[in-house]
Amino acid sequence: MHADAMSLEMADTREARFRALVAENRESAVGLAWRLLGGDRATAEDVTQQAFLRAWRALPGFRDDARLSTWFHRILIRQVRSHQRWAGVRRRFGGLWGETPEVPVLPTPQDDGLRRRIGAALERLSPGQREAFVLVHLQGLTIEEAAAALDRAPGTIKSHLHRALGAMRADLADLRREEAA
Amino acid sequence: MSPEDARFVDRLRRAYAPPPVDAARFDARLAERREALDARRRRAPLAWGGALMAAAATAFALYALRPNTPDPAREETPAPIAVDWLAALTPPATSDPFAELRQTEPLSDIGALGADEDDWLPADYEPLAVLVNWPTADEEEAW
Repeated sequence: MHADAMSLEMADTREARFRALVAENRESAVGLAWRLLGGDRATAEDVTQQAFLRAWRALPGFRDDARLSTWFHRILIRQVRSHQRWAGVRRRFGGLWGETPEVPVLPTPQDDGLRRRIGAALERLSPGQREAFVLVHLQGLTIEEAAAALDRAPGTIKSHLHRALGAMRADLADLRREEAA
Repeated sequence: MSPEDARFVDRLRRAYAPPPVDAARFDARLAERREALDARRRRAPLAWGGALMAAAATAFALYALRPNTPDPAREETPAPIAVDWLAALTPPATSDPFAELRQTEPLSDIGALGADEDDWLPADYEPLAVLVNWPTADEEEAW
């Protein structure tokens, strides 16, 4: 009886924690996946849901040694990377099995050319630089939070940011000049 | 970061912003997937048990249907019946197979002409001498 009551309480706690996690991070998580995956909304939502499902399974083992949102960001980044790996494989070998190779999804028709240019410039960054740039400059995380989410040292994140910003400046120099003017 | 870079990054953030999320639709879809995941995990032990039983049944069937090749070691062992049958045909060997040979005349005596002719051809064989033109003792002397 006591054990049943405890497991019910634990189940309630787990459910409550999960609902809170989803409510607090849904918007930012989909936004992060959207920016990392080249602006594909359906894929971003799908990958984010997969990350939430993994978090649901791993929640009982969460030891509160980090913030829940940081822990979840780490799961989300891994899901994004996994999706990008498999997308690369499908693009390269999908034709062997008669599948139509997956074409990189362009931004929606309502997007202007600027969004496409920014997406293309981000695609030209290395994966580490892209993740650091998106997390810190576009999502607004601190360098320490980004380092925890990416499982890297803060110095590595700073180095990635420096290089990424230089590359984006070169790619979108006209934009920078407009802002400077 | 310089002020120009800060404004540049701010421009990128505003221009490269994701569309808003339909929270109700997102949560409903997430709940469906979570339910499906929990159902799969509840079925997992049954699936593993079934797979193990199928593997055991396959292994047992393969063992039962294996080809019945004779044991190579057995082929070298003569069958008991064949040994008895063979033993019945073959007279028992004497303990000393060379005993008969020692009782006969040495070979050196055969070549000695002029030796005692009675010993030359055993008596048992004299009736055969006529048949094979074997010289008798008289004929031998006459010649």
